[in-house]
Amino acid sequence: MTNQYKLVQWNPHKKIYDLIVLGSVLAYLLTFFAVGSIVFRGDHAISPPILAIRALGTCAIVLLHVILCIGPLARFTPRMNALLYNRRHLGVTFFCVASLHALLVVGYYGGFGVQNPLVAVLAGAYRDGGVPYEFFGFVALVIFFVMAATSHDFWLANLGASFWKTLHMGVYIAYALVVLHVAFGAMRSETASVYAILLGIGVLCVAGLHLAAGIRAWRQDRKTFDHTSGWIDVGPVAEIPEDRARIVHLDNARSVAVFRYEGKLSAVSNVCAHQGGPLGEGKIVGGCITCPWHGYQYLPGCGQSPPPYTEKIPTYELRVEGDHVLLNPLPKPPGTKIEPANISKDGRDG
Amino acid sequence: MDEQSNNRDPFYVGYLPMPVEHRRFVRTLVVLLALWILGVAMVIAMVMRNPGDAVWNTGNEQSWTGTFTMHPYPMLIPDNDLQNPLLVVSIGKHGAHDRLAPFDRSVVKVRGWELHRDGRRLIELADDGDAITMISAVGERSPPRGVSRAVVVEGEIVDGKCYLGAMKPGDGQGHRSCAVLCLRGHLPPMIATTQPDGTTGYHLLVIDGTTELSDEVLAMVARPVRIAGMVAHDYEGLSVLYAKSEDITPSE
Repeated sequence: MTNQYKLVQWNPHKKIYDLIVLGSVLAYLLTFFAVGSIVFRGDHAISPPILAIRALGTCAIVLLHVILCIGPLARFTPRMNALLYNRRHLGVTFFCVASLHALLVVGYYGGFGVQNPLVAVLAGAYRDGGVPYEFFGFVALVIFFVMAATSHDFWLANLGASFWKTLHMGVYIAYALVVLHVAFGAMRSETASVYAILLGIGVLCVAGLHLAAGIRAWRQDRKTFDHTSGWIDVGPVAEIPEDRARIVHLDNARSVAVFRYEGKLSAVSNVCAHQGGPLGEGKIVGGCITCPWHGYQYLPGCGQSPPPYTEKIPTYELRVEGDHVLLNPLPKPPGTKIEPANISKDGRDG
Repeated sequence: MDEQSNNRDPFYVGYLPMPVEHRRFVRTLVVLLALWILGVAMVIAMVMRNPGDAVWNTGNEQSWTGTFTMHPYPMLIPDNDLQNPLLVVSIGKHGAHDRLAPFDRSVVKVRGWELHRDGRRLIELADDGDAITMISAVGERSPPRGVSRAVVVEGEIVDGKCYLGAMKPGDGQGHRSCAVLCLRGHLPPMIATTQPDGTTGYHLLVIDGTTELSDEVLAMVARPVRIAGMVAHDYEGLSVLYAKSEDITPSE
């Protein structure tokens, strides 16, 4: 959490995650290079820089698809959160691989000539009236650069979670540009149908998973509670598992997480102050509500992160009537302390 | 949070020990992902287009003796093979017009590296000052004249140096910006055609009577085109296609 900014707040999981990512990237590049050099050898050998350009380019596309699939998959199973947790490192790795691809393209195809290498690759392609697939790739890389450069929590805190999130939605524009870059570039030179099939599978996976996750979220959001006439009944106490929450959708923009812990109930906004993670899918860990995405924590009684951290989220009033939980849908300002509702042994307000 | 209770109700927090159930899932997923990624790398690398058998002998500097001609592009007509002239270019994406113009029709000895593909040969001149040695100021030999005939060919406009081995592959959409840059740098343009039997043919291109290609012609580079023009076989091993820019049309 944002007590102080370090370049990377390392922990064992992040180290293992990064080692696996780097190992996979190296394994991909070496495999591509080795197979390409064995299949096309002697007089039929592909120029090593072109082999490297292709290895890096295809590796970047594979990484991008993995990155884009993690998010929606995590909506279906919390077991994917282990991959989601350090996804920004995966994103930065992808950006580095894509940048190396671009640098080699500019240096090799645009270099050694009578023009500035970047101009030779970009302006020439644009001016000559064809589909400017190099330009698509360049714009995508600029978007990825902005995302990689602002991926640190420093920017998240200073730009604000909402703006930061919107900025990082640019990944979908960049992804579309990458697909065009490949379709009008590499796939017009390399006509084997395998490329089209692989890219098609990738696009279908990304689009299909996002669509499925979106439909799931839409269905959940549809189950809203009428909160226009004061306190609302959010259901029986017994239906809320210990140390877990029930999510109450008030409307499309607002939802509340009602947590049960140590014989008490507390309600906070369902939206984590860090990256907007679904707190209601989290758990009480060490007495704190813990976000499933990155482990940000809040004290259930006041919606504040435990000292020295400073994040705050809105809190809500609760009471127990009979064996049902009632929620006041009017939020209190972030960090407002509210006495938890006590649960008697028979499930009533104590 | 103790590990036992977290294993009963598994919940992943990045900075805490991973629940057993999650650990099993992640291990399986990582192994499957790694296999899939390596499989993709192998498949993509295996089905790449064969770049052809062009060769660039960068490790073998050679010398040739013969007569230079600047027409239609800088070429050396070797003393021992009068019907198979070698195109001559500079290092990088640069033609050799400026360096060779003073030697037009002279007998010279040159040093450099050979590129070749399907019998078509090209010399990349060494960059040092004594790469060209004058033997006699003006050669006696004038190029033989062949008979011209009208043709329509379909293929792809490429730059001679990359296509003959400097880059592999030196054709196709992926190579377009490089080919345009090479042609702007006065490397000799060629049209590579594929014959019905799958073999590749080549014609050196002279468009609008000049070796400078217009932007309209450059826009056609690395795309399937049809060119109507006159083919001249001034030498047995070299055919030159003379055409007008308006007779180059896309064939897609």
